[in-house]
Amino acid sequence: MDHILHIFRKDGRRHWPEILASLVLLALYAHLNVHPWQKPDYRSFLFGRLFSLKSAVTPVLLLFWSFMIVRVVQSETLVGDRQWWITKPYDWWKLLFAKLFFVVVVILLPLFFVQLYLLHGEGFSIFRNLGGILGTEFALSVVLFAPSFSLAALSKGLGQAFLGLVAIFLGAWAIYWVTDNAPSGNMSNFADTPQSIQTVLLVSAIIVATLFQFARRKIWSSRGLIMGTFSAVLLIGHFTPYGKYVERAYPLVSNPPARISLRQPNESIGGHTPFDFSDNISLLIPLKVSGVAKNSVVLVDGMTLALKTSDGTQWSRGWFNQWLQIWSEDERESLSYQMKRKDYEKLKGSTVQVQIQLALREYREADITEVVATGSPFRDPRLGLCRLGTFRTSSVGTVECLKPIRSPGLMATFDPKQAQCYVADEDYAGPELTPVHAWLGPGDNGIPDPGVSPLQEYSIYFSQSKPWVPREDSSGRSTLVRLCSGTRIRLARPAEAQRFRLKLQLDNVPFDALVAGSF
Amino acid sequence: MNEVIRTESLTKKYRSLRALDGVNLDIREGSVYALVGPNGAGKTTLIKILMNLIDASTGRASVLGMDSKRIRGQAYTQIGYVSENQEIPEWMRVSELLDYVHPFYPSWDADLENSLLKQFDLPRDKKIKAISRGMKMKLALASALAFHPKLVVLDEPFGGLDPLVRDQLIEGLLERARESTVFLSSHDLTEIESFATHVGYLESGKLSFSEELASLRNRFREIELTFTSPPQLPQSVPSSWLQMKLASNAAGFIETNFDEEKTPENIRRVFVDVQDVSSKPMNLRSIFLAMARKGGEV
Repeated sequence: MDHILHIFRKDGRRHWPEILASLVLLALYAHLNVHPWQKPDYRSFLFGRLFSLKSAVTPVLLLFWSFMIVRVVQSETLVGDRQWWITKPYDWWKLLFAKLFFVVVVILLPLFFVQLYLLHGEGFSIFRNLGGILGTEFALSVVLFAPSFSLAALSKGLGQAFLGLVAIFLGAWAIYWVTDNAPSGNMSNFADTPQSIQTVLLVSAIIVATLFQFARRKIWSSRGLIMGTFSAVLLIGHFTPYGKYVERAYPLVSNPPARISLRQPNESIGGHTPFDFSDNISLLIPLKVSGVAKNSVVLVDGMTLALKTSDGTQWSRGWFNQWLQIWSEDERESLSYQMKRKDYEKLKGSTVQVQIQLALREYREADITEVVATGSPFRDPRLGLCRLGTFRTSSVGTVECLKPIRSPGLMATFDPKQAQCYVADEDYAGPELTPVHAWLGPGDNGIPDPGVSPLQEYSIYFSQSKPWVPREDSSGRSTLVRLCSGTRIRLARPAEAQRFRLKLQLDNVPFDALVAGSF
Repeated sequence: MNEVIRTESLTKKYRSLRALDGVNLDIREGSVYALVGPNGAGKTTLIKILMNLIDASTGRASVLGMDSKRIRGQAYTQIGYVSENQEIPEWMRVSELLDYVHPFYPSWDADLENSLLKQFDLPRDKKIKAISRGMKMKLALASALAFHPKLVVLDEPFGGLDPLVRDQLIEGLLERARESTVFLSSHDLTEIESFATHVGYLESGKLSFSEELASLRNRFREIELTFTSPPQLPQSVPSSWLQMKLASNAAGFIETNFDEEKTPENIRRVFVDVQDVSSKPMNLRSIFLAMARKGGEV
């Protein structure tokens, strides 16, 4: 322990300017983030009105911490054979612990106190959220500090560390590209096992290579371990049969909780001519939906599309991500799918048979409560601290909330007939007004999110297919339904009821009518 | 006496280049061993393998009875290592460096540290980046000697230093040589001659010889022969004779295996009409020059 403290004190003396800068940045971060709804958003002179100081300080802080970790670890460079310290009686594990101790004392401990301060500032319990704060710090350590530490251990000097950073970004891009271009790779996030293996492999390689480098300083073995693991992750990303994972996770059912069928495309949606320069053509597949239970929502997670023309030309691709919610009031929806231009050119002008598969999840309301939105910020145990949103482009309304550690999974509903809030001067509540819903996915997989702030700032967006209510006087003008003070909002935890898959088919569809435009 | 350093068939390859080629070396406790050889001979490579800074391709090395591959951490409490290429933390002051390194060594001698600082004229309060190269070498040596190491390893410690600094370094070393084994590499033969007890010659990765300096000096002689008439170049001469030169009534060569009785006998066998034979001891520089011209093998 003496040597650990001795090395730590030396690093403290050496890196006091960086430590000071880190503390100043953290203090600035705390100042800008405490009571975020009570102060104006400062604008930086340097960037004009493009970036706010508040949004810039977090990435600057994270980058600076990475830089400081690289500097501190490289005080005793582990690469090379000319360093003074390597022929001194350092025990490798004491050196490692001294550097880890520096990260804990100089970064994590001040951050911990700032997080407590921010929580307390918004009136949230400190003790109830201690575990969550430690969880976010742990996650931040795994996601940012461990790779920074590893980068420092496997490079000599800031120049090499920067090149390493570039290599990391290129590697991450390569993994993304290879996975996304694999068959059905667009839905790789539904292949839990390969994703877990990839994550475990990468994290383990980072930790083992760092430990090995501290213990033995065999730089090419350590770098080789990282490169080998990266190659393995790349191969897993490319060869995983994502489609099979999706089909296994979403079984075909005979009695689905929603009735969904394909319908002939409407010229007002499709029938566009794509731009000449675009490589990807966007198709819109129209659906007719019904039968979703009142206390349920059905999510479309993914879709396959196969097209067949009368002359035998066929086109199909694997699973493609979707983000469609189907509520009980919904009747007509559409799904988006992308096609390469060369495929579009082969099919345009033809009549096709459309075959699709849908991967769906049904969620039902659980633990139902109610909250009344008020003009001033209001509290709710599930939502945290909330206020009515000021986001004017929203069709119906938003509720902006702050919640410690993690935003909740949520099914929220309000009845516009009871809300009586309209933007127009003359209120009108037509009989066709139906409940307005909001959906927040249950992201609780037990792993805390990495982050600097202990408060999750999230918005509940209420949307409805018919937020505009026509006037009775046939003036052609409409009234916008809005969420406002006094609106009762029904809140529920989304409980997953089942996953299922549907196969649908529709003949004699004019292909051009499916074309929505281009990207 | 025990062997402090031992290598067996030590080889280091960098792709096609053999930096070390089957080096066998024994260094006894208490000796001051100088490893000499031209630049690029493999001296630094050998030292780095001994200090476990790089791996050998084949062969074995042991230092203080330990496999050199296991030298790390606490093993360095017995070894003082100084190299001309070391990257000393220049942001520290002289005293800060010594204060920092002190707790790592249980046997650190504060009195010795003070006396070394005084002996080397090291300014305690100066930043290391502000002192000269010679001062840095003296500081590195002070930090390597102040804990009474069993073995002192110096890689080219005198390179580029002025004579005064060199003398100070050698003086400091000699004072400690009584309690430590010293192993150093250098191509500065004049300095080595004044204090080394043993010497090894490394060229192109091969150790040509390794022996006591006194024995080496006894072995090498510059021989001068006088004749009454111009001598004839003999058809064959012993392999231990180097650089044979003939003049009008004289001849000369370097005997690499001098013996008070046998060498004159051999000369008279080769040069029957030789009138006078004289021999002169050689300094280390002359010996190595002669060997370098021959290609190292003696």
